[in-house]
Amino acid sequence: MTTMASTPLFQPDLTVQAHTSPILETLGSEARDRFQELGFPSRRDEDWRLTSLAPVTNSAFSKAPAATISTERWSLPEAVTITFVNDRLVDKVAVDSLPPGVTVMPLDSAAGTRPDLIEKYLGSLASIDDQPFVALNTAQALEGTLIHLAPGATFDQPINILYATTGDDVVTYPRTLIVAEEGSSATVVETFVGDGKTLTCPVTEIAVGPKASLSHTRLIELSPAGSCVGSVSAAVEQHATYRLSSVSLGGSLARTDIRVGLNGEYADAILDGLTLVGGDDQGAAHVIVDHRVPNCTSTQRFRSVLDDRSKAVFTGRIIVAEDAQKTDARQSSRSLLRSPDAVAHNNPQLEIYADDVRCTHGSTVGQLDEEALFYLRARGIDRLTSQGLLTLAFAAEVLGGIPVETVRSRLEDLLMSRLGPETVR
Amino acid sequence: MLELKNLHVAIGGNEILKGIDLKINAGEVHAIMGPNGSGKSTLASVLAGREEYEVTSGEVLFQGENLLDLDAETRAREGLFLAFQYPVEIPGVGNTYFLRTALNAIREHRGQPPLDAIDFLQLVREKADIVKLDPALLKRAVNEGFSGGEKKRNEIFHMAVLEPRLAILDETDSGLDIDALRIVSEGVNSLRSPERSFIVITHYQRLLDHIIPDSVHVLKDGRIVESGGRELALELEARGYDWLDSDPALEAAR
Ligand SMILES: Nc1ncnc2c1ncn2[C@@H]1O[C@H](COP(=O)(O)OP(=O)(O)OP(=O)(O)O)[C@@H](O)[C@H]1O
Ligand SMILES: [Mg+2]
Repeated sequence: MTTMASTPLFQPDLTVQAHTSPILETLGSEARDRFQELGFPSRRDEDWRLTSLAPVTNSAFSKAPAATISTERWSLPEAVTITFVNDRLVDKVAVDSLPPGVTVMPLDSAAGTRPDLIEKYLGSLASIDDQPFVALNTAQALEGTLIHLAPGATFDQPINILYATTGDDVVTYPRTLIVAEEGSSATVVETFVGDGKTLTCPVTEIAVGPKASLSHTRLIELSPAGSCVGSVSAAVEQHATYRLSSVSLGGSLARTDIRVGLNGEYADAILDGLTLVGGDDQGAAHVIVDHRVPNCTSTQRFRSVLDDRSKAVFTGRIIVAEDAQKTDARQSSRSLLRSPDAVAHNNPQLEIYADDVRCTHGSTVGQLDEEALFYLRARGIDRLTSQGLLTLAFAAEVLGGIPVETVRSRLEDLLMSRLGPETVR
Repeated sequence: MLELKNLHVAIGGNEILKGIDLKINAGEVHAIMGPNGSGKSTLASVLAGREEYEVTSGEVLFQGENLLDLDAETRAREGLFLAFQYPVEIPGVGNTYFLRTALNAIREHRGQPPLDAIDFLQLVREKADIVKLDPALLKRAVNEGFSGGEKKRNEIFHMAVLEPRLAILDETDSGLDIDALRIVSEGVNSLRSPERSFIVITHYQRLLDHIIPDSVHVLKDGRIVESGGRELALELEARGYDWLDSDPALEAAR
């Protein structure tokens, strides 16, 4: 028997969940069956060829028990915040802090008050058919957040969702459902914090209705031993905009699968990603943008910064259906290798079945520009600060797309301290 | 201020500078001319601290210190400035932010407190005015998408802000239109002082009508083959470089 086929130490708890709602019960049991059929992916699966799941399968994770953690660092003064620690709600959004038409509530209460939404959307956007980790998440208690924006509702304050996992050898399964109805708009910041040797397996489903606009910032911040394997699935209707900034700052394994369906004409998706990896860590973003109808636009900008012996993978598939004429799809992926032992894989994949389309993609892997480095140093800036500045400049495009000022400047500071002079590597 | 003694420099085993002797006193302006590929930028780069070049023998004293022992950033902090022949574009790093970081690094080295944002902006406005730098260029990334002339002007602007003791201008005049040449030269002249020295590398004696040098040197095939006053530049303009021999043996015989 090879090591790959050996029984994983991580045996997820798949006991039947006691849901209050029959909808959740059905979803859960289908997902449980599906995960049992699929099991964990192996490197023989094309989608997982470049990911080593060892950080997930080689530890006996068990469901995270109730715990406390200081979440001050992630608080956003300008936002309303809902907080979960170890899959338990610890802080919810006061109803009177929300304008009419905006709902932010835990999923389990939503199953009681808005069964219509749960029934229509939950599990309908993230597919369990070919995504074992979605099946695994769906088979659990479905703890998490519902955001609902009624038709025309707009909310100027960001909605901050914080999922913290703390402890050692513990796993959580956060779940988010965002439904933005016609003409609504909002900004959501979703942060996954891992403190200790944690595993987070989140699933986020997003429906962006006609003419709606949703801005979504998704952050993964883990301890060095932490891992996060999650997904984002979004369906974007006509004249709607979905904008994602996906940032991951290390951890043993941080993988995000992003699937966006452009389902109505003139839908627009802007997807940015930034992955920072060091040590022996792996970072991965696997993106599928599906242009199903004519006249849609999509932009992907993914960046990774690699130190030490780390590995980063970007796979970006653009599918353009046969009648999706006048599609404009762009993709760029760039990796910055700050060490000779780091490895970056960037794989653009185009599947184009229409003829009148514009698809561009570009991918580069390179080091810091020596000429630029010398220019900075020759003006008196020391080497480490210069490297930090150039690295920050490399990441600037992605950080610049983050709409919430507090988040953006915190990440810039964090990057500068991680990559600049304070770092001793 | 600066003294080069028998400086030999190679890259990839190829000797480019073959024994340079040069002494520059405080307050002096020295022009270096010479054919393409003779080693002028190499000399400038070695002085600024570019590490690809190997100093095979000789020494360089800067303000009495052994310059070659210092890394590029320390040289800059000690007051050495190179205006690049080809200024580098640095997307994502703002021109003003960059300059403030550089200035404060230099100030820290001199034991001065950092300039706050307001004082710095005041200084930047004043200096940008000296070289008539379009204020829009301050808000852009360093040199990104700047025209050839704008890049050169930006270099002199950086020099004006950083106030070096020794400035090396590598072909700052090439690519400048006639008005820009005059403005940049005036900028340089306004910085001339008894404590500040300049090395001006150029192909055109025209520049030396504006920036009057104390001496002119001809670099050919890695050696200084002729030195003189500003009239040497006029002679070069008229006669070219062919009459100057780079082989020291032949020269001795002449
Ligand atoms: N990094 C390098 N690698 C290899 N050769 C180099 C390198 N830098 C300079 N050289 C060579 O050294 C010689 C001198 O080059 P340098 O740039 O110093 O000339 P220059 O006098 O500044 O010329 P120009 O007037 O054209 O600017 C040239 O033959 C050049 O090809
Ligand atoms: Mg040159």
